Amino acid sequence: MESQTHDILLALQRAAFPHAVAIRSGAAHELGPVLEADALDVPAGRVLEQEDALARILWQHAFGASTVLPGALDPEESRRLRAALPTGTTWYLPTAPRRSMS
Amino acid sequence: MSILSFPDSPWAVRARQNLRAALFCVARQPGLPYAAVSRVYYALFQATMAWLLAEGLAPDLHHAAVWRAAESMRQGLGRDLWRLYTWRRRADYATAEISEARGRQLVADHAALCRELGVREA
Repeated sequence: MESQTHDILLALQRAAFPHAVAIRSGAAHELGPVLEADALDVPAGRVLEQEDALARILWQHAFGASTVLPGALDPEESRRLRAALPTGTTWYLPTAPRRSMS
Repeated sequence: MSILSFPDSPWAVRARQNLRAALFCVARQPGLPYAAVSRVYYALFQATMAWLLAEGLAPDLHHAAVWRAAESMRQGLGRDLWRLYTWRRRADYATAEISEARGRQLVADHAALCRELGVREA
């Protein structure tokens, strides 16, 4: 795994970001190589709020070998993205909260 | 120094036109969210360039360089531009959809930011 993706995963884990994030390579003609990092299955009314949260976590890792582009997708958009993800997509999956034993 | 001191600077003129275009696109019925989001990204990018130049900076025109210069001068501004770029990609390169409601919200939020930087549609 390349180091920028690894750094992104660590940052998401440390921040306990609550949504799955699909990280994959892409290109933007003004930027060159990019890493697209989209949070999936975000409730429609919270897309901008969760995109902001993701951006705050990823900003310090945004400008490496690739430029990172954050996003947040509602469930319908997520379904379409999942059907089209390229091979080599790296996933961040949130850790389920531990249930109290008491 | 503020861009209010240079209202006719080349970047401020372009920012004003693109801000007007974005507001026009969301105001019409039905709205034009793709055109609106594309224009509001450029309105904010150009407003930022006008502001940075008025503050004595001359950033490289590479989009990421402008975002980073903006963030170094005003916390949150570079990050806002960076996030808005993803929406502009949706608008211009069909990477995902943008609803009319989302377009109106993005234009409203970023038009306010343009005005804070000294660019007004009138």
